[in-house]
Amino acid sequence: MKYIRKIQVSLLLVLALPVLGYGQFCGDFQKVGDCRKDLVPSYRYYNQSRGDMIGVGYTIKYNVVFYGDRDYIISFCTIKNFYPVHFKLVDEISEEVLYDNEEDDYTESIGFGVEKTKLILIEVEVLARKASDKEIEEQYPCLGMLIQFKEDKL
Amino acid sequence: MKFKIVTFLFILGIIHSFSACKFSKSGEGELTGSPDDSSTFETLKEDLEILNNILYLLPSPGEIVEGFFNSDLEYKQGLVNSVEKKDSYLGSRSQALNLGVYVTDLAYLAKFGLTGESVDYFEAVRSLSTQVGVSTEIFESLMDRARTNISDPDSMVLISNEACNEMFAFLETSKKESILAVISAGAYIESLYLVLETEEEFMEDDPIFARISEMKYPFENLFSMAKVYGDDENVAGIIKYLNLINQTFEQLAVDETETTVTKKEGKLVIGGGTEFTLTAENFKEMKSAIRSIRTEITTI
Repeated sequence: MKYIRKIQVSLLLVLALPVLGYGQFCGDFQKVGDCRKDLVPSYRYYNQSRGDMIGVGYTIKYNVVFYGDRDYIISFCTIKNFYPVHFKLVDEISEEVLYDNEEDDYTESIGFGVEKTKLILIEVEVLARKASDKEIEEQYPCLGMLIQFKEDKL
Repeated sequence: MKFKIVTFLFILGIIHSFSACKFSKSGEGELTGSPDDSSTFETLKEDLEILNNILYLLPSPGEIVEGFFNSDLEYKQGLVNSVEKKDSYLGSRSQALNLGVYVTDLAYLAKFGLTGESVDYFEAVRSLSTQVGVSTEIFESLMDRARTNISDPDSMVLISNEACNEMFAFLETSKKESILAVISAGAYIESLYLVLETEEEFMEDDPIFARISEMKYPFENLFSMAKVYGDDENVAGIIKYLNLINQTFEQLAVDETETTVTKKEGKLVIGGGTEFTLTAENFKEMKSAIRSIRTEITTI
């Protein structure tokens, strides 16, 4: 069943994206989805923010450049029944988990400061706790990752 | 519902076949995929793997330029690549590299309020984007906005960032990530070129040099991205540049401390990590390497 599901997701990606693309499917989801609620006027939009299509059971991994002496807010959003979103911040070099939102009851947003510029691996999955088996099988929700920042001497 | 999915996929398949024709570009097969039904299963397998791969993200050229030129660095005349050369670049790799160069130049000019020139560079970006297979439609409204906001530098910066985002999103969604990697390399090299050529001499305490050493981080992601698409002829052609840049970064002194996660006044703070230090010698070598690469890229 899982294999069939992966085939479905891939078929959808292979067939749909060249014409509809993430641009129309999910490309701006971080701007139009629930993530908007987390926009903070004193922070600026970081261009490494993204919207992507995801399937339940898949983990998307983003390798993001975080500049030092900055404060960041990362927010994740998806569609209604596919919450909660589970994400981890992982040190790119040591592979140590720096933060796991499971410990914060799957909060969708986290603010943090970075002292020195570094690469952080962000692993994200949708747990779809309220989705029925049918929804999980048939829907491929968008996942938005909104990153905002402000310069800040820590 | 299963019928609906099958129908949906079937319709998408038909649309896909048209779209593939629409976006394919003749004569430059290296950068653009052509539709091939027999390869569907292979593509499917590749896509399954891509889903499990890491997506290497980069700051936009506008963000990199702003990071450097928000400080004491001033505009230096004659650094940007002449817009007159835009039609002289032939071949996908040269066009994509110089598109990246112009994208960064556009951000640089917009940053310094040179809005008239910015519109010319916007036109160059649009022109070369078309050459590498980006739909011109994404630029139409942005071009109009650029002309309307010609006297407003802040708006021009936003528009140039938006143009870059739209272009990169288009390439990604139309599965032209290899072109994206080449453009990103051009943009990255130009960013470094602009800052290194603006700085005449090395000064140890100037924070700009710490910023230059931090360019290793986006470089690592760029290098990783290029390696993912290394089978592409055009990407393979830029690896020599990236190897050269990598060599200069490899010479930087490294100070590693353990990454720590603490809470300060309720805020999560990620501290420690790796710090790279640039010396006068590193600066000289990097400047020389980037200048020679940039000359090779932009010379007709």
